[in-house]
Amino acid sequence: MRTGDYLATALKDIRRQPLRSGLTIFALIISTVILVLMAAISVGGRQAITEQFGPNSGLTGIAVTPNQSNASLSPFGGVQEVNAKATKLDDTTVATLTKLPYVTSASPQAHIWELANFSLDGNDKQFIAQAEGVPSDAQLPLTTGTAFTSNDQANVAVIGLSYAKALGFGDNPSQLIGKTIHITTQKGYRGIGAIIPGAAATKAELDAFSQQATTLHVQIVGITTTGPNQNELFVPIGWAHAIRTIHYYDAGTAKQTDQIAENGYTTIKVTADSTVDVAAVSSAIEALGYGQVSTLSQVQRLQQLSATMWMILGAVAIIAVVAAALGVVNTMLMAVSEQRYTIGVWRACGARKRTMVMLFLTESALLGFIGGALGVAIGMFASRFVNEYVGVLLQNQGLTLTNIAIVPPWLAGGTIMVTTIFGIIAGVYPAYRAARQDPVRALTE
Amino acid sequence: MSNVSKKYHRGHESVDALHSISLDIYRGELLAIVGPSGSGKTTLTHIVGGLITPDTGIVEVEGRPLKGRHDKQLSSFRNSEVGFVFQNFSLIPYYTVLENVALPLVVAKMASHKRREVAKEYLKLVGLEKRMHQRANELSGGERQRVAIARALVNHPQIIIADEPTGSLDSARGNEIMAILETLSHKRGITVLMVTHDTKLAARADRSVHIQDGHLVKEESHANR
Repeated sequence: MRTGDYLATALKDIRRQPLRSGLTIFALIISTVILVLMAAISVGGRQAITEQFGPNSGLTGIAVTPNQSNASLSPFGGVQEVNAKATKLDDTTVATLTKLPYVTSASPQAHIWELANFSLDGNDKQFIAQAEGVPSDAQLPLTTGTAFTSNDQANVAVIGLSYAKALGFGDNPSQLIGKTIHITTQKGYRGIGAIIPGAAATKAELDAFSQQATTLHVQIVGITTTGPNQNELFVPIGWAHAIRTIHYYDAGTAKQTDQIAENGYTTIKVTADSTVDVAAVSSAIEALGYGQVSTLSQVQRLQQLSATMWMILGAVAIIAVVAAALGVVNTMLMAVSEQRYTIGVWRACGARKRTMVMLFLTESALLGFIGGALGVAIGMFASRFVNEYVGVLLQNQGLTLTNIAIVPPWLAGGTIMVTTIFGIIAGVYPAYRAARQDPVRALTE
Repeated sequence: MSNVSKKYHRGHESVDALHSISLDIYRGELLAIVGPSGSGKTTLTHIVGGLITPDTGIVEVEGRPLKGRHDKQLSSFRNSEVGFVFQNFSLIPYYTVLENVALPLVVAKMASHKRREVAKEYLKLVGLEKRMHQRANELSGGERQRVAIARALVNHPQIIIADEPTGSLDSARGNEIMAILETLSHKRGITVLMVTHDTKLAARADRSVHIQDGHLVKEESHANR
């Protein structure tokens, strides 16, 4: 028989029992949708990890913290353990870390707790300000724009690429350069730009001030690349000192406290010369009594988590497909049983046993293919829905991770192939039974 | 065929269907195989048609033995050299008339457009070309049997095996079918083996053999040509 005749005959047999074939295909569709969604979420998770941490060149980064962390014990991160040996991170620490073997640079970073949220001029969208002060030589990887010209440059910022995407400038972030963002401080902010109550302020005036936020108007000078910096907002470290310096009156005397100078930097970003040396640098940092989290170890932990999730989700999906394949076995066995007479006619007309095997295998493969193809189509549609729904949820929480479920072409094609193969496997026993039938008995019973 | 025997096994019991049957069948002959139910006549035709193999004995078609042929060779023999017509018509009910007739051509890997033409030609021969798009289960008994004959002929076989071809039909329709079989044998030179209970039909054959309890008990020639 010709291939086209196998397909046409199998389709005719599928259409002969539309309800039964439809229910079998429906079961396959459900299991395929589960399989596609599980795999799509796993693929999306892996891509999110890659986007979060940037290309391989970004994997040499190590964040040094004052206290040691037990993050390595858990793939979900860990708590900071207070270490008696640790001291605050200051410029001396930066100098010490720079001299460690395999270290190419060490750059301090100060989180600016005083900045609450920000919006683009003329745009209603508000974002949580994850603001960091960095030196002008911090080597921030930029998609567009320029680095800070000096540490003391004021009212300028580099914003993460995720913000640009969320603002609708993902395709052309350079259009944001030169635009103004309005950063709202925490209430009771006493840094640069705030109008501080005078020495003679009343309690009511002080109470009113404690409920008052200040707005800083900042020009965008650069946009980061994807990677660990894409969800942050950077300002020059000198201006960060000015923002974090508290101005107040003590017994009528104007005073100020630079909190960065007093408490130290939040982290120091150390860069190793290659990923091979990251472990050695991490050990050296811990030997100095500081905590450290390398990008590489975070990626590895997340990839472990992703792999574990993939295995669990994959097992669930495969169980669903196997259950649907058992439905195909049942359908095909019933078809063989019902078509004993037809099989006898085919055999009397000269069809070989192998032809009957191929005929029933084609039918079961077609059931698998149709169920798989429809399941993939619905799964792709469902993953778009998941992305839109989860994207909105994440955006409401200030995050800009949009593609949580991704169906790449290899996943779509591979899934259809898997369901077709499962269909073929499910058809082997019924096809064997069809071939073994005695044509004479089939025609005379 | 010479000394052909066949036993059927049902559980622990075995039933002798044929006992050492020896029979020569000639090309273009219309041979009637007559006998009561269960006498072994259908088994005999199925052995000739390559649907079942005998336990002992030799069956040769055109000097070539059927014994020792694999499924592929036996299937090819059934497809190209034998046409079956059964009492119950053996049509696939949900296929159209045209699809039923073209079935042996599908097995023979003939191209779709060509087999449509060939099948139409044979449907014209049996007078059913106008009903070719109807489903087989929408036809009358006589029409179904004519479709079965068209299907049996479509691959230009040397042998037509007709098992009680008129058994489900009234006498008028039965006569029509018998006339077609006579034409095939006498005008087209096709060997026709016809199983029947009906002695009147058997008398229209060139020769008849009588089978009883698996034994060939009588052979008669009729001067019908």
